[in-house]
Amino acid sequence: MKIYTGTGDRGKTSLFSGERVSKNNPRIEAYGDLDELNSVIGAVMAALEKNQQPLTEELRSVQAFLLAAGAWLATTPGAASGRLLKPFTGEPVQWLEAAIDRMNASLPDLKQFILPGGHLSASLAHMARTVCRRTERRTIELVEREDAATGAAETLRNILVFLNRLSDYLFVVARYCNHVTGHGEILWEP
Amino acid sequence: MGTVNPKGGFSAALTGRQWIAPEILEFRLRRPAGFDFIPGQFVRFDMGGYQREYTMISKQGDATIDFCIDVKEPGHFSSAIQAADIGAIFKIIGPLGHFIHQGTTARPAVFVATGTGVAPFVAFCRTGVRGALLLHGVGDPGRLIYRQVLRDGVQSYVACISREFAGAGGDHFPGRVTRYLESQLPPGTYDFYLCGGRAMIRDAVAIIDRRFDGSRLFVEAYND
Repeated sequence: MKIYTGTGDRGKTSLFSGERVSKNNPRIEAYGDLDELNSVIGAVMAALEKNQQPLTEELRSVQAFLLAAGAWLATTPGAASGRLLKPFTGEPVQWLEAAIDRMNASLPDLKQFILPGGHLSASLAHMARTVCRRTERRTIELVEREDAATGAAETLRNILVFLNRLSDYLFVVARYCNHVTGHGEILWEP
Repeated sequence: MGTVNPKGGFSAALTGRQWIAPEILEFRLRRPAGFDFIPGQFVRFDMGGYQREYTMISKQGDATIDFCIDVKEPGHFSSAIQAADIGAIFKIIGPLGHFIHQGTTARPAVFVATGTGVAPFVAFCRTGVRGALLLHGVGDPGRLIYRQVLRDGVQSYVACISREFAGAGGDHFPGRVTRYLESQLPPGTYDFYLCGGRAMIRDAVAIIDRRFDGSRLFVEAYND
């Protein structure tokens, strides 16, 4: 299978809903960051110890949610192409919250700020968390534009909540990875 | 909610086939229970790991799902479909793809196809899509398949014959589809639907970006 068509060689690309836009369009910026986030999560998975299969599978589910979110970010509201996409509801947020509570139950209470680092998987999870925050900022920009333009975008709002919760989840994943690999947390000493 | 890709695949029996043009074979499979699609979508044929993708040309809800295949370049699948007994079972995965009609908009629709890339537009027309301009590019007018279905469905049908051809008659545009876009289509904002080889798509998109700013673009690229 060839992966190139040469249709983006002049700085434009097509949204899923057909519009030809500049590659620095806010939608492209948003789902580009989402793509970056997904890649860093892939790196977290690659760095996990072999005995962390349940967490690997959980992160794979997160990757699938991110791909679904990316398809929505690439689609303008009301486009017919949207009928091919699965609705992005509030369910993934509930799923993330349950995962956060499950991991947190095995972690010591956090009483101080911690510094990113420790085991490679934990360090990459912190990196994923920061990319997630950036993605969230870009998506907020998009939601505000859509609200002004269409007064709609319920799906984008669900994605925004998902990204907000995902950064919390990745913070807990980082702590969890350090905990299960025997790396102590690096406390911030001002 | 539209048709989504179900997990796993379907088994479908071959019910018939016929040559519709030199080296272009149409074949039909019995539509498996539970299989539905949106016109413009395709399925992946899985033959023990060897996979090929073809777009449905039939209408939603028909008893069969129909395809056309260019056998000019002999391949594993094209050989198999020609040799298979009626009743032979094929495994299909899908429906797949997002090359669907977006509905009528303020932008006129322009369908652009080369060769058997006309398949999704046949499905569109059979499902009642109307009002588009269709450009069908072929090297040989004998390969202008589904002419009647397309003529009945679209507002304007233009056959683009890219090669000198004796006796081609006068009702075609003498040149590639891209030359038509470049020289004949009035400036404006359109919904372009492109289906065909990658070279055509690359060239057409360059023209669209240059001449038809603000248009929308939907692409289905065939492997060359």
